[in-house]
Amino acid sequence: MTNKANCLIRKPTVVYIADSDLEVGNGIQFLLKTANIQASVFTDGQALLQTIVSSPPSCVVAEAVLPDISGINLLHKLHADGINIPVIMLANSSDISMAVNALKSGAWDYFEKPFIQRVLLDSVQRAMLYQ
Amino acid sequence: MTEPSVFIVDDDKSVREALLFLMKSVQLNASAYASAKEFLTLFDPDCPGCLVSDIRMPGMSGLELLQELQQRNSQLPIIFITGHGDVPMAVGAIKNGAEDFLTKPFRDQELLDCINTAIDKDKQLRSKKDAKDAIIRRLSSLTNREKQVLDKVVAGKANKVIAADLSLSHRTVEVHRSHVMEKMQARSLAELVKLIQLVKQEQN
Repeated sequence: MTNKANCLIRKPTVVYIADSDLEVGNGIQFLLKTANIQASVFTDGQALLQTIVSSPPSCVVAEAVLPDISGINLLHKLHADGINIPVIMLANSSDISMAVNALKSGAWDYFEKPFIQRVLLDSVQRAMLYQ
Repeated sequence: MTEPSVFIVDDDKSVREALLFLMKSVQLNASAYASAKEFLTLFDPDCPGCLVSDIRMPGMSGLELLQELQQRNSQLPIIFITGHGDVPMAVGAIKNGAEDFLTKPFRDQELLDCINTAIDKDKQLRSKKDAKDAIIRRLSSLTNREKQVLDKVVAGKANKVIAADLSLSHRTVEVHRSHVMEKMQARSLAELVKLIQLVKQEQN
């Protein structure tokens, strides 16, 4: 019964990308477009969070430290609001403890920049299936 | 109940000795093993605690040890410590179920904090499992007829409907039903449903 019910609810198919560097965001948007995945780009956490609340995406790709919010805090905030959307993090540093903390706080996946395009795309596609 | 123990797996003798010394200094039970194989041959799933393991070791690696324990249905939390870690390795370990991942050098307190968290988690997992096992034991004490009645009761059917379904008298169903409640130690239908869900959820 639940399966049928799930099919009737239309899942969001859009991905939100947040990176302080607009070029990086646009690059990921282009990458997702090659796989027919629609995406919106944000450059700060505030705009991202507001849009997530009003219109939830199927998955978020976010820089591990955004100018106005850390990735860990972003995860905690979503969790506190009861929003259960897979978040993939992209880190500028190779800080292992930050990666471990992000995953333990519920991140779906975590990559260092520069990331391998195919690997990121694969992770996004898996995350989109999760919902 | 057995006191929790810290199991240390590292091929480096000096690391094993340092960690054993650290555990002793905070009165934690600990034992050390030079390889994953050695640990596995002496492994007792009923022993509570947590595992502190190196990742890169000759023979079976720490990640392979994690997989082996999962295959044996062990939920013993594993903390990895490594001198040559990188982000993809840490991400892979956590995504595969490791409790934590520390890179050497780390502060003693950092490891002890991880160990305490892991031991608490193990305690919780074990009490959850004990509760589930108790329900399964109660379930297995039911007769086949009682099980049939239980399934239908949980599915929300009224005694009258169950009687018709199983070609029994209304009175017989009532008797079976009260036996089910008694054996399952459920005081209400809601409680019975909760017990059954707990067992089913874990199985999925």
